Amino acid sequence: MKHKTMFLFLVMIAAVILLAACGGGENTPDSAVGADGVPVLMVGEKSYTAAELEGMAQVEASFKGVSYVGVPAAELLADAGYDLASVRAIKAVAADGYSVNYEPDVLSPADVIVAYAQVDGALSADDGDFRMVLPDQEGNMNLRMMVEMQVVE
Amino acid sequence: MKLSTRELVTIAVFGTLWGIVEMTLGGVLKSLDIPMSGMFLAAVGLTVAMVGRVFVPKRGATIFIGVIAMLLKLFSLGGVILGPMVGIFTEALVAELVLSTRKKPNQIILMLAGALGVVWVIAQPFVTGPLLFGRTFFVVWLDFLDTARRVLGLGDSALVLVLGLYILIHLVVGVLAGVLAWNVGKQVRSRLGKSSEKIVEL
Repeated sequence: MKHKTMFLFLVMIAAVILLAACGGGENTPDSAVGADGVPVLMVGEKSYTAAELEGMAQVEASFKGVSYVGVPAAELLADAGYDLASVRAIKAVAADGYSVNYEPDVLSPADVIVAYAQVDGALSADDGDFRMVLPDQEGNMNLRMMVEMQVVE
Repeated sequence: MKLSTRELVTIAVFGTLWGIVEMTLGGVLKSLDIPMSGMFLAAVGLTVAMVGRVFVPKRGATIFIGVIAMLLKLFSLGGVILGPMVGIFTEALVAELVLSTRKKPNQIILMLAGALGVVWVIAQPFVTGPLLFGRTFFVVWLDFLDTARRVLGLGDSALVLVLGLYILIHLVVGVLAGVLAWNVGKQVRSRLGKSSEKIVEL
């Protein structure tokens, strides 16, 4: 009986460890870098560099005490040809394959931005080249290392 | 349902154990972003609750254990606790509903309760997302597919495989939790000098 219980316990632990090791590359975006080596953010079919975002409407937004500068997500999507009122969801994808799906309403506020820099300098290495900033949302909604925004219509 | 003082204390002990697991292990797993941490937590928590049910084989015991664990989760430091609290309660509720179909627990019913309780981890966001967090059913579905694909490392084309595998893994882990709970419960009872005959009713 003792050995059976121990065996079951070990099977459960082994299963969890194996599952933790699962996952991988298939969902990871191929590249977040443009042809000229400059990091780009894909929004639907269109790509944006940080310099191009700088040329658009600028908004500051804070999350966890850090102030970021970027472009309102709704404006960026509109620039890429998408109307938030007519899409069902927006998926933000990170360089490591992690993704967050947003309802269109969540991205509507003007202080929800796609940040390319902090107010006092560049984004940190953990933030990557682009990140989402949603001041009123939980941490898991504030995607870092963003490389792509996919629109589900 | 009438519970003796001893049974109430036993329920409190197992509820506290589940609560401690949620407060400590839950926090660590979430902060490390371990894949399927919800499934693992549910399996461990339900194992504790079902061992408690073996000790107190009365209807309502499992839901009481879950309520105590849920209340203890309130004391977790930081982070979102509403979702996990609802999760603990609903997992206990699912297990209670299954266990209540028999007067006394047996291994089969514990396996079934464990399986359905752990599978509830998949279903829960579809209920709590729209009701508590203003999420749409469609976006919760997208999140679920993304998580399953990421964990299993499967591409966009394998929708049925992803769904089947993901649910199967939860079912198997839940069944294992039930088997473990049954064996641990019986063993601890026998070590405490209590007859295991009283709980065996296959």
